[in-house]
Parts: sequence; structure tokens; C-alpha cells
Amino acid sequence: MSNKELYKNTFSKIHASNEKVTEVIKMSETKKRRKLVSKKLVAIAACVACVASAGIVANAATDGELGKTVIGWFISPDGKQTAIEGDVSYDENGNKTTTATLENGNNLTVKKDSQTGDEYYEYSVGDEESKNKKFMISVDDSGKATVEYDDKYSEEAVFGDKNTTGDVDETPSKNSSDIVK
Amino acid sequence: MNDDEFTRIALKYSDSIFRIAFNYSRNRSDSDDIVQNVLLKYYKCNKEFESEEHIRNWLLRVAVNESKKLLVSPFKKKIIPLDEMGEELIFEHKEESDLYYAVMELPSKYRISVYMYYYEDYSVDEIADILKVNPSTIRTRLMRAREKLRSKLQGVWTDE
Repeated sequence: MSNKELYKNTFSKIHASNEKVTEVIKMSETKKRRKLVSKKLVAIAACVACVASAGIVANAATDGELGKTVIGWFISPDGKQTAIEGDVSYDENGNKTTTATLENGNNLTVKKDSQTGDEYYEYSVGDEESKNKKFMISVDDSGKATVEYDDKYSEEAVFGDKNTTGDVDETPSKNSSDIVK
Repeated sequence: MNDDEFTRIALKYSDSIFRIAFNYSRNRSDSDDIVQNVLLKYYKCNKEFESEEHIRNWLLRVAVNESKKLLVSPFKKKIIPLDEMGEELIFEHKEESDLYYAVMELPSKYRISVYMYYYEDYSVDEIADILKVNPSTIRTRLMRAREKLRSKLQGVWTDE
């Protein structure tokens, strides 16, 4: 046996850990999936009252073309995700508005200022009783969003680890902290 | 690069990356970390590779760099890595076991040159290019490594 054959036979027994290689393959697959679903995670919203046990992850994928675009997802308690589609329109100044009608009939609107790039969020409700109520969304550093409703009702929507729609590496825009009625 | 392509590359070259890292560190856990780092770098690099050989050379060069980085870290300088791997490996012949331990006792710069030459089938010039040293340095390292192996292994490591 030549030196080369002996060396190859000996060192061919050394292998990387399958577990570690699988881990890195899975990591890359997860990253790619997140990139596809969430181009730029800038906002989070949660549905109050009508979707009592479900959260919404709102993704302002607002860099798309005119027409329908996915701006968020309902996440039911069993983990099922339903895309929320929004209509995209532009005004004469180039400001972009994306509006989605949620399953409960309420509207979630994302407005993007063409000059500053700032994004604003509006949550409007359909029924007369709720129309004048104020909704506020606050997002903490861990990515947990809390929706407050008339200072007495609140619900949390969590994105990141509990679903695959949000990129946990990105902290949501602080612009999403104030929602008007 | 799609997921299937990344998976193919990861599975095909992870052992080579691991062996390079192991030749430097002699430590399984550090070598596994290096495999992960190198594959992630490959995944993120967005580089246009001309051929499969280009990918292989790039991965092995990054593996060398990552291994060197680990060796110069202040923490690593203070500890002597344990060669726990030898106990895990099952060699079919005594010659293999003897060669393994003899190689592992060589200085790391010899070990890596020997690995590149005898296992990865790189030429002296190619090794020099990957390790960023002169070809004459690689020739010297190979010559000294062979001498050491010959003297330690007697008849097992033959003259070439």
C-alpha cells in the first residue's frame, strides 16, 4: 500500500458531525423561507375584539407593485397562518397606501411617506360602536406587540419564534407604536 | 444558490472542511464549529463561482483561515486540545492507527500540508496558493513531515 493510500484510508474515518451539518442546512433553509415571506419586517399589528384568540403579524411588504400584496398574517392558536392581502395605491405625491380588509371586517392600513420613508399604521373598525375607539400598538424589543383598546382591552401578538413569518433578527420599526382610531 | 445546491455542497464538503479544521485544532468540537462557520460563510457569500473546483478551493481556504483564527485566539493559546478523537476512531489495521497518532504529533503546519497533499491530492503549488505561502516552504514542510513519519513509523511509511 502506498503512503497516499494508507493516509487516505486512515483519515477517511474522520467525519464532521452529521448533527452539526444538518443544523446548518436547516438554518439556511429557515433563513431563506423567512426572507421570502418577510422582505422587510417593519410593522406588527394585532386584531382586537373580533379575533379574540388570534394574533396578526403585519408585514409591510409595501415595496411591491400596484395591486394586491401580502401585508400580514393571521396566526390562529393552532399555528395556522392565513395571509392578509392588501390593496396598494399611490397618491399624486408618490405616497403609498396599502389597505387590507381583515377577516373581521376591520381595515388595516399602512401608509408610507415617499419623502421620509416613514410608515404609519391605521386600524379602523367597521361597526358603529367601535368606530371612535382608539387602538394603540406598542412593540417591545423582543418583538412582542401589544394592542390596547380603550385602555381596557389588550391582546398580544408575538412574532418570530412562534411562527415563521417574522425575521427574529429584525426589531420592528418604532413607527408602528402609534395607531390611530 | 437554491437550498438543494447548498445542501449538496454542505454534504459533499463538510468532511473535508472538518478534516482541515481537525488537522489544525485536533479537537472535534472546535472543528464542528469551524464547519458550521465555513458553510454559513459560503451560504452568505453571494459569490459567483466558476466551477466546482473553485467552490472546493474557496471552502478549503476559508476553512484554513477559520482554523488559523481559532488557533491565535488568546483562549486557545492557553489550553492544550485533547485528542479525544483517536479513541473514537476504529482503525482496521495497526498501521492506520500508528499513522494517525504519528501525524497528530506533527506540528500543525506540517499536518495541514500533509493532509492537503496526501488526502486532497493538491499539488505543492496549489497548497502554497491556499495556505498563502511560498511553494518552497510547502516542499520543505512536506519533506520534514515525511522524515518524521519515516523515522517514527519505520517500515509503515515508505520512501517515495
